[in-house]
Amino acid sequence: MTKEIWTYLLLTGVALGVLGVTIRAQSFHLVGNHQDYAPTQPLAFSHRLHAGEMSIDCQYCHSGAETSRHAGIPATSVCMNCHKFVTSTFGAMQAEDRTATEEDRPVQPVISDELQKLYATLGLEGAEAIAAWNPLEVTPAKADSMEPMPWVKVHNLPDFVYFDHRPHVNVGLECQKCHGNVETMERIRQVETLAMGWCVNCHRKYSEIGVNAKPVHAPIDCTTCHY
Amino acid sequence: MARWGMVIDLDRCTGCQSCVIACKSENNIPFVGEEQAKLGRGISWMEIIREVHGEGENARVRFLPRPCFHCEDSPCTKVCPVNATYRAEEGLVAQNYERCIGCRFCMVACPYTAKYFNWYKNEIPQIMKNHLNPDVSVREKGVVEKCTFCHHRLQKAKDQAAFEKRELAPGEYQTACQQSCPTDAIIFGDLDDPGSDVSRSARSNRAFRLMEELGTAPKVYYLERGEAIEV
Repeated sequence: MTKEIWTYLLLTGVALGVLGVTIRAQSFHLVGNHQDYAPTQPLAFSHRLHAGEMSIDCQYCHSGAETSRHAGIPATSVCMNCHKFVTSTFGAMQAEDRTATEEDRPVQPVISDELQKLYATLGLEGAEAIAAWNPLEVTPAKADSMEPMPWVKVHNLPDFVYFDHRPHVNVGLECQKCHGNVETMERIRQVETLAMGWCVNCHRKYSEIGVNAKPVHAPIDCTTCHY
Repeated sequence: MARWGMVIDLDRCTGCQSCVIACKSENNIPFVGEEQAKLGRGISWMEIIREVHGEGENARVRFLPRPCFHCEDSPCTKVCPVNATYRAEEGLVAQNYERCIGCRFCMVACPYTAKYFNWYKNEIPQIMKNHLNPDVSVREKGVVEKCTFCHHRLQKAKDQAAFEKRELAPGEYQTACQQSCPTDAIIFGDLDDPGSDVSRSARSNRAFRLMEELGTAPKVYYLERGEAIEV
C-alpha cells in the first residue's frame, strides 16, 4: 500500500515537473540572449500609436538608419515638432472643449501626465512656455536646465559586434524583419534573438534568394562584423 | 576583388615612431607597463626594428617598420586549431578575438613575430578612456592580436561607398600608420591594380620582401637602394 502511494507521489511529481518545464521553456534563454526583453521606459511612449495608428514613418524619428551606422534615438526637439501643439490625447482635448462651451469660458490647455515628462526634460513649465518653444532659441544657459530623456536601450549588441544599419536599410529590408512588428507594440520588445546564428542564417538565405528579387551579397566572413 | 598590400620605403623612414603611436591609438592597444614590456610582453602591432650596420664613424642605422605582413601563404593560419585566424576575403589575414582560445600556436608559427598575446586585462588609464576608438573592439585577456591593416577602416569605407552606390575609390581606404607617416614612407593600396602607386612600387627593382626564402609571400614590400648599406 505504501509502495503504491510512493509511486503515485513520484508520478505526480514528475508530471508537475514536466508541466513546469514546458511552461518555463518559452521564457528560457541562453546567457546573453535578451529575446523578449521589454523594459519599462521613462516615458510610456507607444509605438502602436505613433507608427501604427498614426502611420508615421520609422525614419521620421530614427532618421539615421538610412544614412549612418546607427538608427539613433530622436532628439526631444523632434518630438516637439508635433508635441508643441499636441499636448494631450485627442479625447482629453475634446472633453475640455465641450466643458468649456458648456460653462461658457475660454478653453484651458490640457497637458497629459506622460507628455509633462517630455516637457520637463526641456525645462518647459506650463502651456505658454510650451507654445513658445523654439529650438533655435536654446542658449547654453538654458541648455543647462535641460536633460536628455533616459531611454533604456532594448536592441543592444555586444561591444565586439559592429553593425551598420545602412546596407540593411538601403538594400530594401523592412525594419520589422529584425525589430518585429513595432507598429503593434505598446512598449518596445526585442522579438528576435539577435544572436550570431540568427544573423548568419539570414545572410545565407538572402545571398541565395536576394532581397525583393534583387541579388545581394550578404557576407558571412567573421571580419564583416568582428574587428 | 582587391588584394591589399603595403610598400614601405626604408630610405624615407626616419624611425620617428609616429606610425607606431598612430597604430596604438587607432587600435586601442593595451599598455603593459615598463616592467612587463622588458619581459617581452609589450604589444606593438607596428614595430620599428632598428639595425646598426658598421662601427664607429661608419655606423649606419636602418629602421624597418614591421606591421603584420598578411602573407599570401600565411603560416599562422595553418596552425590555428579553432580557425580564429584565417585568410579572409581580399587576402587579409583576419584575427577573430572572440574565437581565439589563446593557445599561441600562431605566435610560434609567425616568422616575423607579428603576433602578440594579451597577458593582462586591457587596463586603459581612466584619463584615456574617452580616447578609445569606438570602431575597434577592446581585446580580452588571453587572446592573440595583431595588425589588421586597419580592417575596420576598410569596412567603414566599403559601407560608405555602398551607401553612395559606387565602387570603393582608390585611396579611400588608408591605414593609420600610412596616414601618420610624415615622410610618406608607407604606401598602401591594391596590389592587383596595375596603375596604383603600391603595385608600381612593389614591382620596382628596389623592392624586396623580408625573409622571402621562407615562401610565405608577404604582402608588405620594402624599398631600398641596396648598395647603400653593405650588410
